[in-house]
Amino acid sequence: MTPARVAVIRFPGVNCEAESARALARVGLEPELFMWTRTPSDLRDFQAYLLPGGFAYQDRVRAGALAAKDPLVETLSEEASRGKPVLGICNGAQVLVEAGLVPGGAGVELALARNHMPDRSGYYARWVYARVEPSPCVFTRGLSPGMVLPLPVAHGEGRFTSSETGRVEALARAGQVPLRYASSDGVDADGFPANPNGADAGAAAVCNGAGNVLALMPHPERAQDAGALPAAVVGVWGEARAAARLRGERDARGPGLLLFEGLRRHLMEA
Amino acid sequence: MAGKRAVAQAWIEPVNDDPEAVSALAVARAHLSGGRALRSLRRLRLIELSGALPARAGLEGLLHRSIQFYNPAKERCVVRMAAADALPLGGREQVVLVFERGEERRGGAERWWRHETGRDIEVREGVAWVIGFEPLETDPAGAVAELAALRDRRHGLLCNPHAQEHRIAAGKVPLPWITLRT
Amino acid sequence: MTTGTGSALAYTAEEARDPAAVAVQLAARGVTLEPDEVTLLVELLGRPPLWAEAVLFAILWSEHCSYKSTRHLLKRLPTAAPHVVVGPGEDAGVVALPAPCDDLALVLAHESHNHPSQVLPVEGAATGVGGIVRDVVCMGAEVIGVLDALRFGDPHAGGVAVRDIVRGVVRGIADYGNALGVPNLGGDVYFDAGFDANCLVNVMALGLAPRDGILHSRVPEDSETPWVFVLVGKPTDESGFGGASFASGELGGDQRGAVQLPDPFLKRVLNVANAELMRRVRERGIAAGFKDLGAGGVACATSELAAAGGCGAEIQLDQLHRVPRRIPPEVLLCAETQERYCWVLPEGYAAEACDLFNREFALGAVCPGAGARVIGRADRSGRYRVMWGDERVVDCPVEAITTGRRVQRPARRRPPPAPARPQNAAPDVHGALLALLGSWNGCSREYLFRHYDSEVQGRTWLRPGEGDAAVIRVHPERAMGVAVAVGGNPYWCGSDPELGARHAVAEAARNVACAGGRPWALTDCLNFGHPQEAQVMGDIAATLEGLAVAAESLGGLAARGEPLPFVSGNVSLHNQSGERAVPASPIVWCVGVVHDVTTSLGLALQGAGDFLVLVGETRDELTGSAYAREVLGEPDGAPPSLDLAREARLQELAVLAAEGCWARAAHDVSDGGLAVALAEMVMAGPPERGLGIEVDLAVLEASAPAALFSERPAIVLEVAPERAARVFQAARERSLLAWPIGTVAAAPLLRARLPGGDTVQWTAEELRAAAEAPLARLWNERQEET
Repeated sequence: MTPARVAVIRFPGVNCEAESARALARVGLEPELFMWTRTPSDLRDFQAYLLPGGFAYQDRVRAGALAAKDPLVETLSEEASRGKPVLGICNGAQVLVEAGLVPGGAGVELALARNHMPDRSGYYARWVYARVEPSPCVFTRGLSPGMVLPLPVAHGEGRFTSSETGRVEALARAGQVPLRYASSDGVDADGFPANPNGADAGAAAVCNGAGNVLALMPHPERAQDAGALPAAVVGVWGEARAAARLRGERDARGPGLLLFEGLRRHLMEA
Repeated sequence: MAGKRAVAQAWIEPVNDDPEAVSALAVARAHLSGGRALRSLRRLRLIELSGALPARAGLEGLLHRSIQFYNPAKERCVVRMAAADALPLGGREQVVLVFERGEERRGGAERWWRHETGRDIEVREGVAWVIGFEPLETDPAGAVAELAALRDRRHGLLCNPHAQEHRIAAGKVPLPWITLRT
Repeated sequence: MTTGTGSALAYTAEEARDPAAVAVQLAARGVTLEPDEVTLLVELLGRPPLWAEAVLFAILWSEHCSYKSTRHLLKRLPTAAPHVVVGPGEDAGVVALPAPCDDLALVLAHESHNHPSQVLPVEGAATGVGGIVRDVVCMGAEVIGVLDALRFGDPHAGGVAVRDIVRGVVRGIADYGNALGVPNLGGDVYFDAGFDANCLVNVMALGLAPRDGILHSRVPEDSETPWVFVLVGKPTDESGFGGASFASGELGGDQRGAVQLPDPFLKRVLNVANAELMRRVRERGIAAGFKDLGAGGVACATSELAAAGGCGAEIQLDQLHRVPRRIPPEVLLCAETQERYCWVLPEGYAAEACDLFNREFALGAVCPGAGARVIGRADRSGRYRVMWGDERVVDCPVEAITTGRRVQRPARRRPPPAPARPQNAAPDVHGALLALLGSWNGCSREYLFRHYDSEVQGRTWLRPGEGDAAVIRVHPERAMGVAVAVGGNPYWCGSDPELGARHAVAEAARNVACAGGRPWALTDCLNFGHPQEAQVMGDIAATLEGLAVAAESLGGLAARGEPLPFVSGNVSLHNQSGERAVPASPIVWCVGVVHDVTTSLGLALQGAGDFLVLVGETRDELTGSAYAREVLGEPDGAPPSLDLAREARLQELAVLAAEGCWARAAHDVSDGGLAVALAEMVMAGPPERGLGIEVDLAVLEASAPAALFSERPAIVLEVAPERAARVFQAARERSLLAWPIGTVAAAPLLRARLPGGDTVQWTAEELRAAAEAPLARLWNERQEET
């Protein structure tokens, strides 16, 4: 059976596409870097889509704003409404939010706004913990709610918010916040830095109602190798890190691959 | 010489081509209904200073001195101290002001001002998109309103209302504009 | 700004009889030629120069480009070793990796961007990163890391101006590196009033290239092929005009126009496009030359490509893609518009190459006016010519381009200072450690490096703050990693340039060794004051001696009997305002080879009950210590002594401890001494693990302050009890002193029994509170709580 093909959309200025493609290949999918200059209809030949991190169009006007208007995204929207999975990571998540593909209602209902952090502003990079929440999201479906994943964030505009008070909390109640910032032992993040950007409802990711489109701020493609995790990671994954290093298992799998494996499992069943 | 409490605006525009404005114009023309008949789109920074300000010459000199305000090697600055003062706008151009909700204050600039002059003033900054249409646009006000607030992939670009505020001016641009009180 | 016409004479033969007057006149028009250079130019050309030629040679002969005051001194540095593929001389150095990765080569480049960062911190630092990345790319490499070594003024006494520079420089480095998608792998920062008016921003970039795919900055050898120059990137404008001269003089007046403008977005697209072109030419076996444009713009790049290839060239200036404004030809020729490269390709392939940039990657849509154009050709005329339409604006022998300038400067060495013996004593060692951790130079850098993306590309195994060196994995399918770390203590170098320089090399290499890397190659940047000052030249000569001696002693882990080679570097002079030069500041990067990334070692404590072993020099001197400076208030102090043979054996032990998995954590003892090193190990682990340290320092047979705060070279290893014997044996075999100083505790504290019997204790929480406060205060403009 031929592996499912995943288009990794390469807008000018993205910079995480190589390791994103590697993660897809590692779980048995077939990634292809898709240049922004190609015909949108070529996208229909793929089974899933990934919008990688970086600075598409230099974040001109606003992060994700111009890419969201691109005809490629219009085609993505059509394919997504047919149920094909779309994963937007960091800048890719910003594109999905600016395009209204997430939360997937009638238009744009959210913003990924500038980080709110005590004592600092702008870009902020660290490792955080994200807790799996009950959700139809295809990327997390195989994971038990309550599972805690260490993942790195690196962004200046990662705060899920809405002008409608309580919107993100409502999405969470509806199962559309499949990952939430948490402490290492799985308790809700009690502010900064466990919640690195002040996102409403501690949302690290928001998906559409059907669960096939996911806007994810942390970078799973940077957490592919257990041995490469930071020494400061504790819990199950801290132990995995120590074991990988002790045994010289360079390629022992890391927490980020679980999200890509969710995608592969979904595509196999489709 | 310091005056009584006043508000001044500094309208700052890049000297060279502004890739941000060029991209926004191209995208708006190609994909947005309000952008159909767009002729020009310029992106200025609008800085508003309020407090006990010096007279024009002193104010311009202070703004010129620090990159907290602008870089004279790559930008030019027009200061407006009274409503009648000239603005770098064409006759029919409209302006959309956009800033992050709750985050328009510029602490670094205020600190610099205090260090240089000993005085405390308030400094606010936003982006001013200056928009001109072809004559064939029969409803320029409607088109600007369309371009301003992001609604979906076909409508809106300049401001995401879930995180940002915007204000529109046609003809007369308020002074003050960002600052809510005088 | 110059206001000549390209093809008019800059000065007549008649005028040239008074070269001093000519020099003054040229300077008034923004062109810096010394009187003897005015004469030399006429000799070289056989006639007085055209205006554009005067502009060109003024840049070529600036200190920044020509190294005229120091080039002959730099020969002292060892640059050859079996694994060196390209030594200093091209845009970056190249070293082969060992088997099984000998199909790969590491590319290293190191530059300074000091003056621009002082004037426009954000743009200056950003374009510094931009320039160093280009230097690596143009060797045919993919950039896999950037690092930065920073020296700023006193954040408190230096006022908001210094703090604005700190914030601006970090922002510039972050904005550029993050957008480019290159991980920041660390660096260091020092604060001292000596840098108030002249900050130092040194940047280093690392790249990876196929060993047989290195591209050189010269017209390829085959003289049968018609070679053309293809200029790629941003449309040329007036920006940064005269930057090389700007870097070669003292700061004053409004210099903001001389700082170039960065565009990491265009650079990112360009890098992807260049990588694709590299792939295609390699695949098809097409020879190519490749160089990036920096100081001196098109002129320097094309003339050096020609000269290095042993041929002549003719450039058609009107072919340059540029901004839609009238720009004089000499400005077009020499402007330093960022984000530009020059390919040398066979004429028959040029159209395809241009199409890749212009159509496939649509550079013009990414940045208005950007693209690729053929701007000239190589020939066998032996001359470098530039045409502006029908006008010839430059016509000189190609050797004139490479005619080095050498200026003999008087030098005065200073006598080495005596080691300091502190007069005071501070009874409160508890407060002393907290004061050191809360000092500008001792505090945690975490606030700073959280501005940087250190994870992009997915190769990072040891990130900034986690270990003494950053470690990245070379490739997903390989075991090998590269470690990289910096050295260069401005107090030690300022006090005793020769010994300070030895320590700079030793420290950089020791940091690499502690992380588990075998020191492999070095880069250096010399940051000094005016070359007209005899003391400055004396310090430079002494520094080079120190760098060389240390490098000659520390190369054994890479190749027995060989030095650690310097493969890239830079000299930055004129870091001086009036009388006040910056402290002698050599900055050294060391890269090392980690054979298996899983053996790399960090600082964080791993297991309660593990032993802590100190290996190194006795703790008997406080000279040069941060303790003496900060706590005792005694600023003058020679650096501690350094036995290079012992240092080499110490580094060997550190590497074996990592490779053999004897140690579970490692940290070198440097600024702040053993107390700070132990505190950092406690703070590095996650609070949830709750580990700490208990030590008994009576075994060190030193006074309490010396035991805690001496900065004589040493390393601390965390060793599982069953491995401890191995470590002590290895130390004995190498005639190294080793002490069992204590154990890892299951409580978050640092407790030390001192010589004399007292016990002192700090909680992890109070250590963190002290260490995290200063930079948070600086960024938020908060006053210190008294």
